[in-house]
Amino acid sequence: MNVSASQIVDMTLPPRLRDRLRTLCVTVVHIHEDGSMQPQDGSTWLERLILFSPACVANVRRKMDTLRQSTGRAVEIWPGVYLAPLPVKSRRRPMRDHDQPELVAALLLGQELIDSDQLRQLCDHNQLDFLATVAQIDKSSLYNHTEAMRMAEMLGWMQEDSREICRRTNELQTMSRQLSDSYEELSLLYKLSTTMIVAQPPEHYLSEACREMQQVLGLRWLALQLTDVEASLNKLSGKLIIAGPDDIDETRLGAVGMQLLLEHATSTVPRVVDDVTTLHVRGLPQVAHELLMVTIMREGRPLGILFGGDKLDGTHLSSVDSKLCSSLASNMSIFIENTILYEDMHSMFMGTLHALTNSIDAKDSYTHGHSERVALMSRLLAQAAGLDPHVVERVYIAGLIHDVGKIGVPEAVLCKPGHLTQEEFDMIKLHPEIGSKILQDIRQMQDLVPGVLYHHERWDGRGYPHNLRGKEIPLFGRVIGLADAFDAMSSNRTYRQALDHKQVINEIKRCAGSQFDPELAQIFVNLDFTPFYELIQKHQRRVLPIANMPTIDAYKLGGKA
Amino acid sequence: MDNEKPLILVVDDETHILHVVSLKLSNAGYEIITAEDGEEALELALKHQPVMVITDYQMPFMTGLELCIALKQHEKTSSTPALMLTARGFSLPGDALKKTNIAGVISKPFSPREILARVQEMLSHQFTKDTGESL
Repeated sequence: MNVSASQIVDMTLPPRLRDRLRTLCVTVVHIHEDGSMQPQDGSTWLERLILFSPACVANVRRKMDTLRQSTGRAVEIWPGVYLAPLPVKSRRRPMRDHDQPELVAALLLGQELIDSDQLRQLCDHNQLDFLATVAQIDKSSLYNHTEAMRMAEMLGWMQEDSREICRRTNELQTMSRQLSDSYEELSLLYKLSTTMIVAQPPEHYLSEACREMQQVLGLRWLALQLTDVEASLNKLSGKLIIAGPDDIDETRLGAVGMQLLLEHATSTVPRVVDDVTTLHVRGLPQVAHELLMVTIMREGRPLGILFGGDKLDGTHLSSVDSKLCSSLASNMSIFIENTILYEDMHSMFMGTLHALTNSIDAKDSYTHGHSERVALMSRLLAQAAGLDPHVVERVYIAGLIHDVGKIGVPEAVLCKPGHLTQEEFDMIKLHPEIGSKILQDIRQMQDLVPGVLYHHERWDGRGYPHNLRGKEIPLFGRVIGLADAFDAMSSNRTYRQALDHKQVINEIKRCAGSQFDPELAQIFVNLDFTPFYELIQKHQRRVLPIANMPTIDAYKLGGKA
Repeated sequence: MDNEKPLILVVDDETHILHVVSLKLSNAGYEIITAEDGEEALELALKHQPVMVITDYQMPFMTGLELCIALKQHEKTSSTPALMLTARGFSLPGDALKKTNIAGVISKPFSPREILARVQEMLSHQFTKDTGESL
């Protein structure tokens, strides 16, 4: 049977109609080109007797042309024997199958049959007693001529309507499927856009996106290979991201990805490859039969290639798949672009901050590395106090620049050997305010200003510049103030040795509630100080001892500050 | 075997949503009945007692939330779990939720795949819970 399913369906009746005809006791007949007929289920003995008689078949053969043109009308084959061809879809068929009927018709028997010569001859031919045969016929089921004509017409309409319903149901299914695909795409794009947060590690978004896509498309695996020749990719350079089964051969996929990237990353138009052997990529036929790939471009150069293999359900890759993949690729390229910009900006910001800090430390060289250590301890304290990671990072930055105002204090004062006059000390005490003025116009640093301005306030209100007390002192000020005092006591100064760690801790405990926020002090003394001492060692290796060391210690605990 | 397909009631006043959800779920082997508003849904639910109900929130006559509250109040459907579809960013009143068996909320536009996954997950929980109780 070289006939596809759709062609068979064309010649059969919709199931709904078949059921209805059965209820109406109407027999459906398949009529072949040679006039032979096959009654479908539910036929009566009388009907079979007529349909299989050679005389009737010969008659039908003669009337084939009329029958073909009589859709929806009854054609009288014999007196009282009507065939009403039902409209079947006339699709041109490439191959005629002789098992397929030429026509489908309803068989209607009329009252004229009873008195016809044809029935008499049929009985003789089959050696049946004519009168006995007639006696067995249910006369009430026979149509008169007009009824047969009407019935034929109605059956024709019914058939057309049923077919139309069938067609629309199929159409609706197709549209629902397309709508479903669009929903899938919309929801995927929505998810992708909400997870495109640059502050997270970029691999996070990229692997989430790959995994989501692999599941939506139902691919066996989907991978993203990024190029290793773009310096701007930074940490992402050469990365391979895979969504698929755990046992997938990552090394092989990576090699395949690199080769695809070298030889086939030409345009952002997605490409479906039905037979991967045509690509001549080593190792590829071992991981996929069909391949979907799309290049991620930036400024005309390939950044990476997104490639996926084989549908899990055994179907072929489709245009929907490639469309989705292309949406994902453009999404990814925007994301990577943003990541590059963000990282550029971030490293520039941090670089600038460190330059600023180094310039402060250079000016006031006996406190070498002080800013960095205060930043470190502020961060550790903020973390231990359970602050939000973002806030912790801001505390760190505030720690780095807390002394930026020293730029505005004359070097002669900052580096003066020996004791300071009250006037000189007042100049030093200006540095928090100078610092806050330096930063006040930088919008992105507004949140850091309190850390700079208030790191010399004291819990008991005896600090400066504003004599704030207790919780009036902003948190950043209290955190940095504590870290600042700790570093002043703990690190070697060129004019004195650092205090012993135990002494420092005792000093902090002693001053909790007078100089320091008691809660923060409690947390502080329990911190792990290893990173701090490592940093001190690093700084000491770098700095050369300075002769004629000054004896000023503006930060000395319990001092005038 | 046909009779043993789990029956799911899908309710939405937008027929295209009904078609999309029905198609996805019936392809996965579930029997689907649909309703276009809460009142019709309640009648169908009481008559056919589906294993779960998937309903839109905003509908004429009876909202999805009112439907779920009513379902919990009727003895026949008092333990039928529900999955709610809502417009994105639309939050459901928490205290009202407690009066229902809403086991999950999915935002529109939804992924049909996700709905199927949630249905399978919810029904497998239901199944283990049921067998657990009967042991």
